[in-house]
Amino acid sequence: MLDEGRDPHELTAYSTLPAAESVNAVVTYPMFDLQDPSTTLILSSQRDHPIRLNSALTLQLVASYPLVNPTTEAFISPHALLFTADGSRFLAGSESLLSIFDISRPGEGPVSCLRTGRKRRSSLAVSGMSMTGILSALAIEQQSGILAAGTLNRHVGLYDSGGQGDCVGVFCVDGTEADLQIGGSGVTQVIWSSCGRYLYIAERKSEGAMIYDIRKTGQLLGWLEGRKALTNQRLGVHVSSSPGTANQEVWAGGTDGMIRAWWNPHEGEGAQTVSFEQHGHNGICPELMAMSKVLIRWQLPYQVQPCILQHRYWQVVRVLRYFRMSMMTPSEAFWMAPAVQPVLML
Amino acid sequence: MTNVLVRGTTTILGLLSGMLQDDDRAESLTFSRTPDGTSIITNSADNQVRTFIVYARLNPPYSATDEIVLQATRLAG
Repeated sequence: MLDEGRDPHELTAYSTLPAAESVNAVVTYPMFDLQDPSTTLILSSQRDHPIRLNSALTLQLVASYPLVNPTTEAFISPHALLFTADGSRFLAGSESLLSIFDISRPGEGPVSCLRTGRKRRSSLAVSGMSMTGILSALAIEQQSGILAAGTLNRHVGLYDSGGQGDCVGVFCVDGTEADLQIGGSGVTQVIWSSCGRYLYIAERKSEGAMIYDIRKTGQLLGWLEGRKALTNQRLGVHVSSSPGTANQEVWAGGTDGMIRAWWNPHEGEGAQTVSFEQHGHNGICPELMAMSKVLIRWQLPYQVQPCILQHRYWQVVRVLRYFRMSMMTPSEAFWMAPAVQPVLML
Repeated sequence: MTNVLVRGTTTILGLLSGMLQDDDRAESLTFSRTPDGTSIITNSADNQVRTFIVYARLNPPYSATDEIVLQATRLAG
């Protein structure tokens, strides 16, 4: 994989785990080590099925953990899964419900459940300690054990003792100054900084990410600009820091195929501009490799005519070969080829 | 270790393995690196979870930045 070469490497899947229904969440075992096959485990949740723990290499079902609605007896499918650091337990976030499972008790339900909110008005709602909606993002701060849970309703809740304690607080990112600048329509990722003070919040259909100072002020500190993530898909953000220093780097990918980074965005207030950006690919067709099918579709209307007029039919073959579009009809491929014409002509 | 190459790497992997998306519906395709950094787990719209073994663990020292950029470049050739 690390060899030099002009052509893209062929990277085929080592294993493929089929599912009968859509898979809502997948996480890997925190002790995952390719050298030790017993640790190569993946946890996944799919609709109308128990949560499954499989080997990523052999696909063997190691254990299953049912999460059942006591009223309807239907399986609940979590939208967020998170292992604890030691791998002994995992958290599952679903509709206004946080469940904690003991991994050593296969076939059994959760050891504890926390309802984060109720639809009916309650005393919790009045005190700002309640939130409803699908829990879509989970993260535990390792030093304090505070769990941050984000919902698709744009709320973030903080819970003590890794989700087994009391609710510390709930806040909404809707209507904040950052929201007005970068937008968003549902929390897809929450990340604690390594120092445990800051919480980064990424949303779908957002042009950035928010930074909250949780430990000191409990307020919005700033936001990252220019992430280019106006899509319903989960575009992740990664926060890294150098050991022993306060420096923080935030990395994110955009729908335009660019990788962007922000250096120490926690040091300032308000909008933080991009510090570094680079194409995700440096090969023959940099733009093409990084483009998504969605983006190509967007480019069709205003780029199709010049190519047709100049009869660049070879591009059809090239695009077909490049995209492995065996499932597409020649007609569809023909119409898609002009969309990437400027790139192919580089 | 990183989930940063979301669009870039996901798309590259998707192209190489024929996992083109049918639409842009929410949560149709996500991926994450394994904690040991050797593999990528993808979850795609065809209801399949795939494991890609990318490379053997790189020897230190590598900063997070080096590894991320290296990964992005090398995956694409």
